[in-house]
Amino acid sequence: MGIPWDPHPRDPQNPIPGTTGNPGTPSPGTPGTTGTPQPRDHRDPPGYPRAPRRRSAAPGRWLSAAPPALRELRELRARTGQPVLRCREALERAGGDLRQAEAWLEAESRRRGWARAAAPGAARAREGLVGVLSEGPAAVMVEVNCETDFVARTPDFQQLVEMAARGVLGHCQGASGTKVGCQGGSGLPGGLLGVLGDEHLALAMGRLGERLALRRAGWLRAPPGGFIATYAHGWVPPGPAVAMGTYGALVACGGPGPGPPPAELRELGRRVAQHVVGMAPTALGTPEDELGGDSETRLLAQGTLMEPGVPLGRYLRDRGGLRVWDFLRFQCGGEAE
Amino acid sequence: MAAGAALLLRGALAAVRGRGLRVLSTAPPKAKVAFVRDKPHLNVGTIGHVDHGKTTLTAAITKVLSAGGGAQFRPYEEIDSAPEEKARGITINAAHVEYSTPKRHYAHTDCPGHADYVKNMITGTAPLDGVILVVAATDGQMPQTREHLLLARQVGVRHVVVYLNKADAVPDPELLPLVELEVRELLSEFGFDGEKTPVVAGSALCALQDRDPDLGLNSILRLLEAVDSHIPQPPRDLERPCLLPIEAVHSIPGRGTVVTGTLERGTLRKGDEVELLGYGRQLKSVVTGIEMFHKSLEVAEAGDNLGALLRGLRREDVRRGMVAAQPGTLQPQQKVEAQVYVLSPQGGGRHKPFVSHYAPVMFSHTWDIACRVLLPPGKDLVMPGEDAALTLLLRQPMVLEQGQRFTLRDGARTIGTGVVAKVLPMGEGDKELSWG
Repeated sequence: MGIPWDPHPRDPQNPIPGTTGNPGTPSPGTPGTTGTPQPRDHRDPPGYPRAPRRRSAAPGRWLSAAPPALRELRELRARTGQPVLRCREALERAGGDLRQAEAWLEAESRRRGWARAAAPGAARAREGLVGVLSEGPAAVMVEVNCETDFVARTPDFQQLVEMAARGVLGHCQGASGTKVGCQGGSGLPGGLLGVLGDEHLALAMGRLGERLALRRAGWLRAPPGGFIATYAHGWVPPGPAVAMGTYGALVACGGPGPGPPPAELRELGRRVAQHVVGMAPTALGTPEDELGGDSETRLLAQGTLMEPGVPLGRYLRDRGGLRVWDFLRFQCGGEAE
Repeated sequence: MAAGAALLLRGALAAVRGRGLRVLSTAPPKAKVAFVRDKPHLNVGTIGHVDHGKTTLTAAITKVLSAGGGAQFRPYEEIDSAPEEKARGITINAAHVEYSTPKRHYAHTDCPGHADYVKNMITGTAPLDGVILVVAATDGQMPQTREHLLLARQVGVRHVVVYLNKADAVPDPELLPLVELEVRELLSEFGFDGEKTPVVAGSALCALQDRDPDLGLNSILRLLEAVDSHIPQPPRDLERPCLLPIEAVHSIPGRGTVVTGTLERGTLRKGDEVELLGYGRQLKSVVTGIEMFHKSLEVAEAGDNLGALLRGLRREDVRRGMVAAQPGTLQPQQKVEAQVYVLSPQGGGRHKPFVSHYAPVMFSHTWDIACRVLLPPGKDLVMPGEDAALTLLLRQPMVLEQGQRFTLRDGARTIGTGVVAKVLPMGEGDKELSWG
């Protein structure tokens, strides 16, 4: 469909073929033509004439005697979650065919998603989640941002965090070294887009209507015989393989001797990761460090979370000698290192 | 003749009025307008997706009501100052706007996020009596709309009015019922009355720009009418059973024991039976006299600071922190589940997180008592600045009911504030807990 008087064509470069629709207006969407008038959206300036009614609305009766187009529109909404007007446009372009409409929506979302990702307002996204994923001797941590914490609570967003964590894990497994603490965009090619693949990101952005960004990602690998203890803290209930929260910590640690560390040491490692989240150390320190004050920033010199009177280094020595080599801490919306 | 006299009189009156006006206008410009309490007051909030026009709607409401003197017009930019301040690193948690319809006075709150609403609910900054859910008709509901309704349930809202915004940008009027149907289904799914909830379609932008009065101005009026009629008046404190937290106990020679305090709710009459509860005690008595400012009083109302003479009690029987209440309406509790907001260091709270079995002092009404924090399974620590559902175990049973607010303090520092979500029975192991 097209509205000849629309003064703001939405996308002259990308007309979509197969347009059908309003029989009262000429079909403008032929491939290759540029500057074709396209349907407007609500961002258009005020004062435009109102669209002519194509069918008379029948309030009250519409549910039982809904025109087929509405039923399909509802179905398309339920399937894709994309905005109403975009779904309607898709159906009109696809001539009422659901599958075609879905394909168009995906293409359109992708196009819009790219535009949004590049928008300067991406810095507005400060809410979101930290995702933690460990596999073998390595673990990754990502921070994915959105604009409101309502969106962070949706399954759509949490799925995105999970995919981002898996994507970063794949990316880091090929890298060398033991620690990568990189910013989204600079250290990882393409930021969130590079990690997720554009169709997922674009569709999610279309559904959620907010700017999304991979702010940073980090990776830790334990030396032979060691392991990475992880902890994610926040309101997300535990369960999925990728733990999520508003805080996350990775700690590279290992037992006193060679060989795989026993279960108690692994649990102790988890406590250390909790401690890292809670006490926000910025340096490692040594196991021989004396107990520091309230503002102590060396991990092993800080008072233990569970026993504030004992420095963490001594606490670990007294409980089987867990060694700590390195750690990484993310706070959602916090300053990047 | 008579008409002429009337005209003359009117002219004279007008002149007087005119002079009065001038006199008024020369008054110091800083004089504040007095708040007139002539209408029932309610708190409402807006929730919705960031781009669906909550702020535009708020501005439109003040504009429409300002025509009748029910509000001062607050333009969009003024209400929307929050993002700017956010960019400067200041946390602004809510925008507050006030307005009155012919029937009621409203305080209107808008918060940016889930955590802000929960914090407001817990601290009691803006207890919401109802909510206006804003959904743009161009987009329809979004995945986060579910989270919005979930939040409304969580903060205790039972009544929602829906505004379908941007109806002017919907080219096909048949789309509106579709969006409406989807919203109604979602409301029902989250335990609201999806059928009876008013859904008003319109355009806040039209109302702001004075065009298309049916979608603009009139939709705002319809919305306000729906808010007036659909969101019920919360029960006033006067109508509830009497509750008097005791601030002090005095022994008046020759008369007996007098307790003083501010009547929290209900009314108290001479001759009323009362129950005295708290610190494991449960006593009965009769009010034989009420005094306020050393004057005898027949009936005291919520808000009155009074002294009540109690029959047959010794001074040692009662102590500060106990509560005098209508018999049978309250039960002391020792274990509750509560929503607690833990203050951030910037807000004066602790720097460090706390773990299970942490023992702060709990303050509520006029009492304070040691308590233990028990974290829910799967939660090992609580960070400053976040809200959490905690179980609190009190050292002794105290008057504590659902919805009651309290403060947690540790030494000289307030560490958090909370609201009781529900009372819990004492478990087997709870009694053996050491309080050393």
